Amino acid sequence: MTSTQAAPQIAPRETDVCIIVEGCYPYVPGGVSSWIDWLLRSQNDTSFSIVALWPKPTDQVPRYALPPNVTGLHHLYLQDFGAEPVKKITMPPRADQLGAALADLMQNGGAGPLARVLAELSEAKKHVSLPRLFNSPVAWHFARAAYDANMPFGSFLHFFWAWRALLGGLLAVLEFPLPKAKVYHTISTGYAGVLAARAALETGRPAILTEHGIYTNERRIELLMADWVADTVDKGHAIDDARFDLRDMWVQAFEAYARTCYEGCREVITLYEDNQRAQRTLGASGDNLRVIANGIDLARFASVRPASDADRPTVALIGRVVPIKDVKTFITAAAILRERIPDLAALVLGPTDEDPEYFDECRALVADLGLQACVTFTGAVNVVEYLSRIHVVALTSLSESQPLVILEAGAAAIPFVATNVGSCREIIEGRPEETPALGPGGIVTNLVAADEIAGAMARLLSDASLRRRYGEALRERVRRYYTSEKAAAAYKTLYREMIAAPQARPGARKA
Amino acid sequence: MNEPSQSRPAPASHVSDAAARPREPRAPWLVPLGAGIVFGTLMLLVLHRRGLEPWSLLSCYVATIAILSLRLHKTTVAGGDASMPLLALLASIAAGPAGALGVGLLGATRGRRSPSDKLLQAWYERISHATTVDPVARLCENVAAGRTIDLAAAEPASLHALMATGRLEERQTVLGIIARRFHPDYLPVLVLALRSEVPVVRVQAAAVAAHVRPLIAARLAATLVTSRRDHQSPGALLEDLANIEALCASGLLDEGERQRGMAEAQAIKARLATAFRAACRTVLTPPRLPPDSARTTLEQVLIDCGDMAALRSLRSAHRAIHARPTARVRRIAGTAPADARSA
Repeated sequence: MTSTQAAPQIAPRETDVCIIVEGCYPYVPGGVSSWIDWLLRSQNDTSFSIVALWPKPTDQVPRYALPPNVTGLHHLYLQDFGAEPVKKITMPPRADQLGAALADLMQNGGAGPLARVLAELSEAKKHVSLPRLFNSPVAWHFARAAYDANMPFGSFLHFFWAWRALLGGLLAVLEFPLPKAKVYHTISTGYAGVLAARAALETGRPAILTEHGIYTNERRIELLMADWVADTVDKGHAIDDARFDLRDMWVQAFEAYARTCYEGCREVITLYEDNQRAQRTLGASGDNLRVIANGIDLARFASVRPASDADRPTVALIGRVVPIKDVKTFITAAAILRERIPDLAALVLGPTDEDPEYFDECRALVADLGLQACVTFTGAVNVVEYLSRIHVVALTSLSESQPLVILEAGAAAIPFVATNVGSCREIIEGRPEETPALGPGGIVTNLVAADEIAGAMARLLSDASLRRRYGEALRERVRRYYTSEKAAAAYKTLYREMIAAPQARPGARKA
Repeated sequence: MNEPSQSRPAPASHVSDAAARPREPRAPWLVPLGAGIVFGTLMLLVLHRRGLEPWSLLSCYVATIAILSLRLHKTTVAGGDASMPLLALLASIAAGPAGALGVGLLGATRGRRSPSDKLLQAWYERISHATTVDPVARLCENVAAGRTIDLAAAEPASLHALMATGRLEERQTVLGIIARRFHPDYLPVLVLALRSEVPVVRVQAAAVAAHVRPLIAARLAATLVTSRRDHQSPGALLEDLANIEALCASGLLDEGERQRGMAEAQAIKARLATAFRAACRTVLTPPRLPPDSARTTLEQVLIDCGDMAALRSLRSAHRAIHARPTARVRRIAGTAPADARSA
């Protein structure tokens, strides 16, 4: 993240790769955005255009300077679809078929239903524009039919607005003018995934997907917990009540979009193997799945020397002070650990300004537990400068995909204690097929388990030879599998293959 | 719009949403029909002055039919309701402009029966919650629509069992219930989910844990306030104690909060033991004895407080009451076991 310069305008010429991304790059820092920034810079002989999906136009400024190989930034606004309401339009021929195809795509998904929708829309557009159609009695007719077919017990008003929001986003994606590119690369399923699948169908060029977290699962739990989704049918505590309600509709739509994306993409990539199970469950076929792990620049850590046994026993959590990192469990674990190691130092290395309320709660907890002399919040720092003081790094996160902080600690030969989230176990203990097996690089614990985390840190702090053995194993694993050079080379090869792939007949479905 | 299946009750929205349908323009065919009549009448007048030739009458008739046919065609193409234009056309074919005039009058009468602005306004106010809906009316509407709990369904399965052995979707639905309908009793299920062997469940449980943590802290704070009130009944205190202990055992409270909760739990136990000892000095009748559901908790409280005499009294009293439900049990503190007498 380097600057906030204005985004360039749409470039008409064809690029090698069109990146499709929803709700992050270049406006939101961290996580997936950082990864995209790395990808763009690591492929400096490849030209890119970017389609950024966003709910509606905002005055946000880019948080990343676009590299010179990015020649266009396009915006697709999902909630900005539709024209002025119209009372009367000429009913397009095959309107019923269009309604049925849209319903099939929103309920079941898949490359076939997407192809049918595109064909019907193409026919309908000869008679009426989509934005006009969306705000006309024809759309109203579609809504009533969908309600009768799916949710006759629920509230029609709630159904109507939810259906309209879903259909509006979908039509915005299907109507968006595609930038010309040789490869379409989406970074999630959802609407971005549908756009990639559509691009593959319409242009005959390959689409690929790199999924960090499993988007559909993230949306599912978000929807199951959401207060903004009304429960219009009282199902009590019944799990198997078949009456369809709004939450079911939202979840069904995102699952359908995921299926559409998986079927439309020639390669489905993720960061670690555990994610592939979820992708298969959601409709990805087994033959086009692959793992390309993230990597780090080892040279940055070459000068780091491990902390001496004589130094003050120090543990650290490296990350933002936000609830998802569960910093409070780290603080509680530090309190338990201090009972055994009175001169313990516990560092929290990371920005504290993202969630000030949570940071205040963490500080209050430190005061409550009398840990003022033990726990230090450093704020945002250059982590490399601290690593040579740290004996054990801990990660108490509630959710991660492939945390770079484990790789960074590993590059410095510092053993790790991490909760069992994302690819933490895979990095710390190695994949089952690792040959030769390098052994554990740390200890994996349950989530929200301060006692267990404290016990694991105590074990490593009190046994110097174990600590060194684990640190060396983690360093070797990072060197072998998790360097940025390896990740960049994997994408270079993949792009080369996809760019060279023969043009499929536009409109033809992937076999 | 298709009608709902006859095998299930028609959702109430079909009734209450009726006014939501886009209002058809009132008798859209009136204008062309009127124009046709005016045109026909003018033609007749003109022709009358010229001697009212039969061919002129025929052309007037044909012009009216042509205008109405055109209107019918346009309505059909636009997907609108074609019944009245068709009726007008047929009537005009049969009776010329007089037929069209009759249908026009019929349409005007029908148009006046459209939902009034007042009705529409009332409906908008209702759906925007600007007016309060009688809860009984709301309940009736929900029952009629089939939106209430399905009483014919089997009893809900145990959330704990579903989390342990259910399908992925079932586990995810359970997590949704925990998040939206949080209760301290669900915490063991959440803890089980956090330790699930399925990564997706773990991650989603973690999201739920993050969501309910503030709720847990707030619930504890509220319980601590109520439990410290004077004149709390033993039953209410026992309930507070159970809630506090469940919240503290969740592992989702900050350590400081947990310690405050545990301290309050001890204080409640002491108060309960004192209250029970005081009760033992008087006559114990079923309403003053804790119910069976709370008996185990109270027994544990007395064990924790080391008050074995009170524990023996409690058990004796329960035995006596169970043997003779109409009994009154008198227990004088420090004396031999309880005796039972008829009430």
